[in-house]
Amino acid sequence: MLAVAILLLLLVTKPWERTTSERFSQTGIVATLPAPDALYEGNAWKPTAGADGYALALENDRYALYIRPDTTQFAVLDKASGYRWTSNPAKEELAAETVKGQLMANLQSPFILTHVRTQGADQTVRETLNNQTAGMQTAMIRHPDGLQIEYAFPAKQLKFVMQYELTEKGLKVKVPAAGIREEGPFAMFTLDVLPYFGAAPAKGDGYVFVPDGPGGLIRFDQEHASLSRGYSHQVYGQEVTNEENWTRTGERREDIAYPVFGLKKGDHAFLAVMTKGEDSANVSAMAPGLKSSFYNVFSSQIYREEYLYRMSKLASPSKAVQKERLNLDRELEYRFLSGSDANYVGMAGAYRSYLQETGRLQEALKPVEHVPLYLKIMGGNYEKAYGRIRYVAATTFEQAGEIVGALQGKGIASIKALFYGWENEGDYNMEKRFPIEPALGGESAVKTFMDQMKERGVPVSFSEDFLWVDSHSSFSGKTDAIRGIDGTAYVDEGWYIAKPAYTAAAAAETVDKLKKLGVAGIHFSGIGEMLLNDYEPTGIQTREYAKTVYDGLLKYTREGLGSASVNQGDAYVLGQTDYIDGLPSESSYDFMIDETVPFYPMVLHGFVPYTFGDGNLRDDEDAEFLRAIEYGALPSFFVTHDDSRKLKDTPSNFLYSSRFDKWERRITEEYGKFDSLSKLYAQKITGHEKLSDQRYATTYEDGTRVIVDYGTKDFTIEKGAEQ
Amino acid sequence: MKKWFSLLLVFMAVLTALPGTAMAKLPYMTAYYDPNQLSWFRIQPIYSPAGAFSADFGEPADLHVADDDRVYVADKKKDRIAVLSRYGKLLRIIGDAEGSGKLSGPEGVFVTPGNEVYVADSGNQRIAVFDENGRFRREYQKPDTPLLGSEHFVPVKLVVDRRGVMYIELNSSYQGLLRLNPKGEFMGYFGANKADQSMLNWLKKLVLNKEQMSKEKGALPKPITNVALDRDGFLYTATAGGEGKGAIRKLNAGGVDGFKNKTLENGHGIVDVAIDPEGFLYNVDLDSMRINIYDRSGQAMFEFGDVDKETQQYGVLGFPTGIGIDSQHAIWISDSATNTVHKYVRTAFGSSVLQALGLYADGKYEESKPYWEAVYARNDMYNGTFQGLGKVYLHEDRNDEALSYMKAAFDTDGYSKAFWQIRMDWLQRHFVALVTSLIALLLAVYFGRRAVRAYLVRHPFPVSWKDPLAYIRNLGYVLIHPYEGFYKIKEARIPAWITLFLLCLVIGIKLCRVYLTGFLFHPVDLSEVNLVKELALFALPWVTWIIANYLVCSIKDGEGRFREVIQGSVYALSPYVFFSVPTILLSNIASLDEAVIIHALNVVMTVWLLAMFIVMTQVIHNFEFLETLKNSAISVFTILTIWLFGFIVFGLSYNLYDFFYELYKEVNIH
Repeated sequence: MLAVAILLLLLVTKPWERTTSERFSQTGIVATLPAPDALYEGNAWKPTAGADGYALALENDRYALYIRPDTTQFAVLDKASGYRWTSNPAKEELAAETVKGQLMANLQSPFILTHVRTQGADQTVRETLNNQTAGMQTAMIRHPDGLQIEYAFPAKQLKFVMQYELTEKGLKVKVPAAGIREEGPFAMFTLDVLPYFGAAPAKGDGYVFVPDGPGGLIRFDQEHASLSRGYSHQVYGQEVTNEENWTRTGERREDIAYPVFGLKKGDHAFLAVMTKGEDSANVSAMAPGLKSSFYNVFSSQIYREEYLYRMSKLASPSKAVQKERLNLDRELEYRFLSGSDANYVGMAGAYRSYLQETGRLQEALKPVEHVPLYLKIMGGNYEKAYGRIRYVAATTFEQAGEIVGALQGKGIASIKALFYGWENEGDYNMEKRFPIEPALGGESAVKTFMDQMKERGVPVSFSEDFLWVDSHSSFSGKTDAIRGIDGTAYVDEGWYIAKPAYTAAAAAETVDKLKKLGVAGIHFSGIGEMLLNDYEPTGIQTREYAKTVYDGLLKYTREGLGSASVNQGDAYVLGQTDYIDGLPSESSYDFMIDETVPFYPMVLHGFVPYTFGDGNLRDDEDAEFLRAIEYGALPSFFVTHDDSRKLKDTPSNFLYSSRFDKWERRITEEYGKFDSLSKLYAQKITGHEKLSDQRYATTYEDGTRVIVDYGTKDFTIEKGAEQ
Repeated sequence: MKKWFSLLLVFMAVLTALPGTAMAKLPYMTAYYDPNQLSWFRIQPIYSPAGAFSADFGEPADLHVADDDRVYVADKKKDRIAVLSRYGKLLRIIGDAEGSGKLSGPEGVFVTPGNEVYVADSGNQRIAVFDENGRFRREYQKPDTPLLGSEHFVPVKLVVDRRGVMYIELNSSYQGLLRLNPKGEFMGYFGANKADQSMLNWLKKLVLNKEQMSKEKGALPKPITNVALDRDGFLYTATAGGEGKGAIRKLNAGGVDGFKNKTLENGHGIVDVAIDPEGFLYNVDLDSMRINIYDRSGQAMFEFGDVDKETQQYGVLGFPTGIGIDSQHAIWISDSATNTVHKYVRTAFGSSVLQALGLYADGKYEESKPYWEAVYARNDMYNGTFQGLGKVYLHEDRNDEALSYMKAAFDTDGYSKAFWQIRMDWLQRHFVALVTSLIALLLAVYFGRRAVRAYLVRHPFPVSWKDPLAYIRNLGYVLIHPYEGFYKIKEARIPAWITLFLLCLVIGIKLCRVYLTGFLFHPVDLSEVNLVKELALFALPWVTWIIANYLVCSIKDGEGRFREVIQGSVYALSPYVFFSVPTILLSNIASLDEAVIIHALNVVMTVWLLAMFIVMTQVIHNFEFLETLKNSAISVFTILTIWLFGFIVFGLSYNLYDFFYELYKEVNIH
């Protein structure tokens, strides 16, 4: 009897199993977040304004910041050019403005604070506060570091603090979490920071730059028909767990991959980098007619989100606003550009130097003799057949070796291979990866394959997803799944998303096992393309935390295997990824965006190798190939040994056509074209321009120009000075 | 179907995170319809968005693409017609000048091949006609005829045929299209929809008396939503709201619907229909929220695009109001939510696949080949390619390839043709051998039997084998002599293992029927057969029959014991055993031309089975014939009752299970 009881107890508690946190701590990945920003201490500063209403507040060699004590509007003087950037349109500019009331007040405010009630009915109704709100009190402190302004709204018992600092490149704006006070029945919802900074009237020369796809321009001189909303999207994508984000039928779009926006006005431009708390902020751009008659672009900081929740499966969902505030420091850095730098090329350069200065971008690539071909090989996946799960093999390890051999035989000198579908039963039971699928040859075949590849100089990474976990596994949703915004473990059609610590632990264990087999790296899916808050009842684990863990994991993988790579390449992985697959290359087809430019490629080229869509899976064969050339991407193909039709009933049925011998010739041909640009592999892109409707020129460090013509479907290379 | 697809979309949204799911970057999905499998499958884009053009529209209510590819847009709010070039540039405004030509809230526009512009000038209750330079020419008001009575003449859509006869849809009129001749004289109504004959109406007619009926609201035909005309003069009406029934009708001059009120996939919320030069149909549908392409018979082929009332993206429609196709196959859609006209152009892949399908529909299989090959190079999952190339190979007499392609596409017709050819060739080559081997087989059987008998006489089976063998042989005997056979069974004490053995035999035959029946007579992917379900569905009626028969007959003074009922019911299945063997064999050598033999065999088998069960009941329970019929009928009724009962119990306990499951989940993961 006692024995049975003990056995039962053992079975329930499972002492031989380690908890996720134990497994995570074993990886040695550190997940400590930086210390929060401090508020300035000191005496109140009460300046007297000059004749124009402004008082000098901060100054360095290059810039001076003047503030209006009455409205807290400010101006930044660029001493070199004499140009003044202002937080709001000037009085004269507002003379022709047609909006009134609240919108007019917003136009004159350096912030727009949206709040909700936490008591009574209508807790989702949003109200706004700005610097024109009656009863607002401001308190300024001047500090060696900068200027601090505290805004207090006694009627709402709300307070927050903004800090301005001047740097060598421009202006830093901070909203420290420590400065927020919610003492009454009102709670902060969003805070628009400097909503009209540098706002430009319609029809002028210039554009707004938004991080749509590879980069999007909204031109001032372009007619924009029928805009009902502006551009307003969350950096790194919306919260997946919030049902409200899925209620619209449309909105399939590219998630914002880099926290940057900018504006060009005549000969002057700014680039704003969201340096802290960027993952919880929207980039918002408005065109005339939406909120005012100006073009403006700014960051809207998210403190709470509205979400849908259901009391039961049958009840219709209700709206609510999350209780706990996203308590993150927010910081933006505005960098000012003028003259020949005042355009999107200059903006890309400014962002690249920001990344380099802060150590977020890895070292420049070494020049190569030949560009690498990124060869993705699909091993296979599972299907349900004859009432059970069956693995369908499309390429065994042996066949993969033959494919690589065939390509090398055709003269492709540099290949980097990514192997997909190697896990036991493919994507069925995501937790179970080992032993490596026997239908592909199992572990002995992997070893042979790896030895062979090492000999041939082809590094092979294994691709795997450590974020999504299916319910066929023994995964515990209760302890290890991300909690959605409604507080419950998030599950979608039987799929959970693992908490970052679980992901890291599972991945680190996989790294250790793959190391023994000689695998040269992991290509992560999910990391670098999806970021979530974890709404634990004990407190929100923010996206900030997830970023830190993922960063540690990428580092662990590089140290363990030699290489880590990701899809999409959201900016937080740039320091730790050896390659980005599927870098955003296309716009989201917004009405508002007039032109798509290679901003992000310009930032990355010469530092992180990247590819766009696979050569055999393109929607538009010619245009996508030419875009890859124009944007400096590398060639990639996704192949199988057998007909991909074999996979039609498996989750890998997106491989419309991948049989290697069908594509062999095309791969060789296309590789030749990409390889004609091999000299440019390690160079920065220094220029990009539209020559005509169909022709675009990309310029590299050494002066080489690549001119792509979408009309003739061809490209030409003009050698630079050094050749 | 819609729900299923949206679920699929959700599922695919999940898959975006899985390894390397290279999602198309367009803001919408594209799928193709497989009529052989009755479902939608994902495919790469057929059309891509090419812009959304605005000419300062107030509310674009209709759109017509003229033969010269100019796009005419009726702007209801701005009271005018805007003419756009094929590049979306505004060329001209019609009907905004003060005077007799001034339009008021126009909702429909049609341009004749001679470039005369007919406008359904709804606000002015007339048809206004302009020449190609936009000068007002003439108008048609409500025709002067007593037949129209007090009805308001509010034209909303119209087409004009080659003779200048106007077909006008009046505002929410259920009488069909009003016909006016070029002189403006009333020529009667045309092409009204059929009134909806629902089950409810039929029940009402059955139950209610005349007086009550007269108080019921009459079942009125649905009003036509939109109308279009093709190059051959056929008139197409779009009608929303009938679950796709008659959503697009193809009317000839006599008003007869070539599609026979066919139910259209994705047609419940149809807005408008357009026809391209190949005769393919395009609709935009607010229910499935897709733009759909159909072949000439109204069979769905592709769906793409999306509808979202808050759209701010090219390619995603806000509230579509009209659709048109230009000579380059570009699709134009007017959208009154975004006040734009959207344009979609074919992708290279879309061109290949639609060219191939067009030539295929024309029967030009040879010409279609390069297009099919281009499609196949980019997608080896699209089943249409297999059907198309299968046809090509059939014409090239490459029957083996044709056979495998047709099988891949689940096209039984094509498969049958290829099979017939292959069988023919085989027979021609092997006729002598076949006949010889058949004769040899017959002789072998004949002499073999004699030899076995002679052998058995010399070396008889052990005595203990005698009874079991007799019982098993009785399965055949009972088939021909049911009465005597069943008497024998009733008298004998057949061991349970024999019954079980026979039952296993039957199940074995059932398995053979599932897995060995020829493709033509069982065109499914065998790996997707749900064997448990198949067997359960096979066994369920038989098991319930035994229970019901025993219960009923023991009440009705039947003599049979439960064991006997089971035994009898097993032996009664003997036609299933003996008929299935030739059926399965034949199904593997017959083409669809000989399908009648197989069907006949199946019918005979069913009748025979019924007869066996009745005889069995009579013999086992020792009933009279009439009594047997009566009790069998009661048994059948009992079976239905048991099923109903089981269904209810299952439903309730499932709810209970669901409740506990939810509770478990609540505790475990929330």
